[in-house]
Amino acid sequence: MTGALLLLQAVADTTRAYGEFPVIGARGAVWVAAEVHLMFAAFVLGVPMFAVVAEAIGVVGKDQRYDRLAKEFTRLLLVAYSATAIWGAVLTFLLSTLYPRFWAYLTAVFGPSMWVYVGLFFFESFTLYLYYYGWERWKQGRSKVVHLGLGVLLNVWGTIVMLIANSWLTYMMTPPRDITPTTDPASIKLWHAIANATWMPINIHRLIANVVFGGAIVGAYASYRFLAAKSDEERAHYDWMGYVGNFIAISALIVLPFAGYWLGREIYQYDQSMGITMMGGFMSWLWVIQAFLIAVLFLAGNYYLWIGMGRIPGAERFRPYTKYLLAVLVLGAIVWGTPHTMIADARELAAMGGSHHPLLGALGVMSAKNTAVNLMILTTFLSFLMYRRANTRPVVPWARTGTWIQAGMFGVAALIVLFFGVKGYFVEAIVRIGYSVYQVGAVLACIVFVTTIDILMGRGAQSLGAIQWGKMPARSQYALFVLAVTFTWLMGLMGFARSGIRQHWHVWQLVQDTSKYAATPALGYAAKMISACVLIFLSLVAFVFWLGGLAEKSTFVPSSEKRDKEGSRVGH
Amino acid sequence: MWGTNLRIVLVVLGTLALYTLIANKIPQVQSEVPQTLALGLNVTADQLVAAGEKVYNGASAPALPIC
Repeated sequence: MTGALLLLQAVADTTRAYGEFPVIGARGAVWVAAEVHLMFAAFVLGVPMFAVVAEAIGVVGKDQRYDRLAKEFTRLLLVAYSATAIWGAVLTFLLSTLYPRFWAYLTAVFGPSMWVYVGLFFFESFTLYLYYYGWERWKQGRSKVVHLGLGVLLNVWGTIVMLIANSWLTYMMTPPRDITPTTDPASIKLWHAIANATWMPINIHRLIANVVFGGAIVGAYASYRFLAAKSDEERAHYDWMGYVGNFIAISALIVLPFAGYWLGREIYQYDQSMGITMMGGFMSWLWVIQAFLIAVLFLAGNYYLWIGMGRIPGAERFRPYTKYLLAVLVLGAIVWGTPHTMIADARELAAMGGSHHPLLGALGVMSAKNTAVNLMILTTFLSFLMYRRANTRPVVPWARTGTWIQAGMFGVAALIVLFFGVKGYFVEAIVRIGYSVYQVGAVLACIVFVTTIDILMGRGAQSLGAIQWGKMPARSQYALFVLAVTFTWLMGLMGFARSGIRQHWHVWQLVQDTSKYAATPALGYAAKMISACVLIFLSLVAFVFWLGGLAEKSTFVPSSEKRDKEGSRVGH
Repeated sequence: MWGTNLRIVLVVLGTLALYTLIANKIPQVQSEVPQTLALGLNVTADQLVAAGEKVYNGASAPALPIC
């Protein structure tokens, strides 16, 4: 046994550790392949969730619009799956030729899971084909339920694939502590490696993020079709589709920070130095950029809703409040984007009066940031609520009381968030971190209870007029494009954060990066790489959309055509 | 239609350019690979000063906790 290990070690030592790639280098090549693959993967995991939920709503509510919407989403998946697989293959080949020793280590640990992973592709692909091509055949009665089951199954396969891939990357970040650099990788138990400290938080975080991403891309698709629409009816259809995409993206975005907190907490618990590198070390500025991007998302999402209220009869009564909501969002964004300690030279420090700016010192800490983001979430939820209630007037006898209770819940939630935000300044960091749980809990409770009351209160509500779908200015559609680009860019940025906190380690404190690219680059370089990846991804997605339109007509059916068809059926 | 396509392309490129610009305007800090520091018994004050400078200016030094 010892002889075999020595032989293995000797072979490993003679294997070249790194390859070279022209122009952008080995790191750049793997970066682009991994990131574009991941973007497509997020798309093909997020959109099926979206599609199956839309189909289910169509079945339960007997609304054909949702069924057509679900089919149109699924059509986009066919080519996107191929693109995902192609980029996955590119990544695998690049890793095995440019980082052969590291790749050998990873395959030694995770080999069997890689076989399962690739095997699941068959199930996933063929389930997708059945799901899409069987749409018209299994449209009625019990067969529709079976079809819906295929959609659920597609999501199950996709989620398992994601869980497996997540185990590889999280092992690189947080390998179990009992594994040392001298541990033979082939001796590591597979489940032990899979169930590492950050595996589950990343699973949850990515699951939610994929829904956000899918919604944003579908929103961008709908907005393009809206802008290209040739009739009011077609415009109305894609306006509605864009709204649904934006609604799902922003709804899921609201809960995403909570999953992020959990992930951050696990990273700190696993290795405090890694947590400090992430939040306070060379990556501290990354969070300022992240805050800016999230501010753009909140502002663009709310802006789209506020403009959308222009096409809802009865929304006028809520319009005066939007300026206050805007003020809260802008103030929240400013606080969230405030750095704690500036990296400055001696002259700048003297001008500032020390390493902590008088204002930045107070607003740059997590107490202020958590308070700001929770108030921004509450504000966005209020925008949704106004949008939802815009064209209805509740008629239940307790409507007035219910509205006051809802207002009270908003008030109490905001007070709890503020109270713990302020109290956080007077306690130790370890206590302060715990306060964020109370803040999050208050906001979530408010969202759940206010929504429940709203649903009950909306029963039999008086309609103030139908939503005039399609009557949206073009600028609202560009807001959806900004949302899609920003979500994609943010995903690239957070991928850099997750990967970058390993610094000069392929696998944290187990396998060191000894290549010439071992140093983790600064944000400027990372931003150029992220923008290039986003551009490649969006260009390919545009091509996928164009291809989808080329192969088949839109699922949008003009009412005149429907009438003709019905007429011809009657005639026969 | 070409006008719409062009506007969309400009919105996408403009958004990407803005984010890239902002990320390049903030202080650029790279995380260097730590070098082994070998100081023997006969180390001089100058060597210690040089080593201290290196540690102080290194990427691991500016730990800026924001919690």
